[in-house]
Amino acid sequence: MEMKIKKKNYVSAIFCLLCFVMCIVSGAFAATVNAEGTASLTLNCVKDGEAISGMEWQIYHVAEDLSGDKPKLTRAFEKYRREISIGDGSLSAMSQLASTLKGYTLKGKIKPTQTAVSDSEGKVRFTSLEQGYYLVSAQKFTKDHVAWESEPLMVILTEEDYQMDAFPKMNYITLDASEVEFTVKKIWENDENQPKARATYITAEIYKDDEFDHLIRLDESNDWTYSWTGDPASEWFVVEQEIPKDYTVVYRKQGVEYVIVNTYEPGGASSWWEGEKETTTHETGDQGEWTETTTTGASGEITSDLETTTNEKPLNSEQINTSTTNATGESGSSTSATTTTTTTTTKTPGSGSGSGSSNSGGSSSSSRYSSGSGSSSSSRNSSSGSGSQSGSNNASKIEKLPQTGQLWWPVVPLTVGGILLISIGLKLKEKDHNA
Amino acid sequence: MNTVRIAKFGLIATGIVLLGAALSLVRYNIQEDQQSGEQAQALLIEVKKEIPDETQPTEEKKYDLFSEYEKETIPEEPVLEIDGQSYIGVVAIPEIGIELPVLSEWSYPNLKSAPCRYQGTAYERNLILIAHNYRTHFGRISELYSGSEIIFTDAAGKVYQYEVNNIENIVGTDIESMEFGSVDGWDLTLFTCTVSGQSRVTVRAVLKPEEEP
Repeated sequence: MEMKIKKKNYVSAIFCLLCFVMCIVSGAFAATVNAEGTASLTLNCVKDGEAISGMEWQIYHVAEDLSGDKPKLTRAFEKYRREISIGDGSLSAMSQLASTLKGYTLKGKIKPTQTAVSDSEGKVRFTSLEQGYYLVSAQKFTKDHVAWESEPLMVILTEEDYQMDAFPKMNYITLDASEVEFTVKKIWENDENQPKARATYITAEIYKDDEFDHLIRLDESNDWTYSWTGDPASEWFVVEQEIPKDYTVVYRKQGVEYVIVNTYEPGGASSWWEGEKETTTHETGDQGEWTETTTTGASGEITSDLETTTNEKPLNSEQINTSTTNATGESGSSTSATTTTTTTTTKTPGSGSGSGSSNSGGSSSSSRYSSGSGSSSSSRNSSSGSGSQSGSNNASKIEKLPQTGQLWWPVVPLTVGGILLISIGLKLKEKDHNA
Repeated sequence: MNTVRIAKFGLIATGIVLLGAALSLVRYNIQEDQQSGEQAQALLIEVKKEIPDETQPTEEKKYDLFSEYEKETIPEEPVLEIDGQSYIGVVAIPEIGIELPVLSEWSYPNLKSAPCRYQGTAYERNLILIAHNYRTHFGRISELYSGSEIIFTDAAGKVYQYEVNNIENIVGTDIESMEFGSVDGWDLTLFTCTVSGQSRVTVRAVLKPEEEP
């Protein structure tokens, strides 16, 4: 009996030990999994300090494998690779990319990777995400006669323990009209010297609340513009049915205005994520923290029929604050592999962050100023160019400023000469008399 | 005796011819001055009729998505077409009592009727105007002084108010000096020939502070 008890104790002790080891191992495993790339994103749906709850958000995995220079588009988006113009990686380009990709999710009926709804604090949590490029978009929703919406945005999750906090810009529209007029305009770019390239017409699909609504035709006869009336509480989007050959597309939306921009790019879209274009890199600060402005300054501006209110502090509301946790400490002492990823991190939103935060203060005025000074400096260049020409070139010595004088100078010599001659003549006469 | 007489007669006759030539040149110049002045005034009436009274507040236009793609058309300079001639606006200098239309392109025939644009535009702040030195045109700009007012109204009715900040003579061959300095030295330049025709009286002016964009 005693033996039995002893044996039992022994067995239970071993079992306990096993459990303990298992716990440690599983704990270690969990930690490893965590360290190997489970990233998360938290969106904060806040407007003027008020949390917006009940808003549905979708996240789409757009590109993966950030280990090399060329992130790879995920399967859902891969077939549109040649059509999607990614631009230069700038802030506004990222914003346009998000909007364009949103169009493709409708057109290609692409299912979101995850869906989440904002909680009572306005927080939307996406967890267990892989590294990669993500499109995040919100479903327009109505609450107490107010329609809430937010522009689609791009998010890049790169570091292993990366946790991102984003503050998307929230816009609301007071629904005081049951119907509103929307307009879409087709823009052709970069094909001025390609008369044959441009299609004579295009067809586009209008989506209402993510469902196909109707088809439209845009051509010269309607000035590539189409208007329709519809419910302002619904989410409308216009997508080009077939992208013209050798063109890329950008979809943009603002208030009740939509544009489809087709840019002539024979050979397909060249983009920074395919390594074909240089990106401006921006080093993060010591804290490894950076901010990204997700929307262009113009966004959220209004339309005649809708009353949209933008944030009092558009800067803050547009900012996406991202913070790295472990990366901060590691960035200094990391291995070469980590360093590469860090650069990738900074390459994309970081590049926007630097310029974004520095520009955002006086973006419009400063850019206007610089463009002004740019043009005038070019005029100076041209003048100095002509100046050096006149200095070196003999022929230009003949060049003169236009002659704008009347012929006044001969009057004096003529008068003086005349008087002189007459007086000499008269003197001669006197001499003659004297003689 | 005979030869002296002939010489005497010859001298006096030549002298009279020279004086006559001088007189007729003066008469011709004065007539040309007046005619050009009258011609310019007639054109001025036509041009002013066509220029809208005030600038419409179109610049206050709300930003929208579509306008972002219409950039190319915005910087186009307003030009008035009257009787086959293009005018960019009207220049007025109250100090010397002139108000004249400004032709878009300069040429010697054009200069006979009105001041012309040598180069540049008002909105780029590098406009250079050229005119004859008729007293009815730019003949008296050398009388201006620092602070004198110059008003240019473009073909769309936008008024640019300048004040003179420098007057200099530039040698007729020195094109570089004429064009230099538009970046921060001046916003408007007027020039015309000096009486000798060797140099150009050059008046530089800057936009009045409230006019600066």
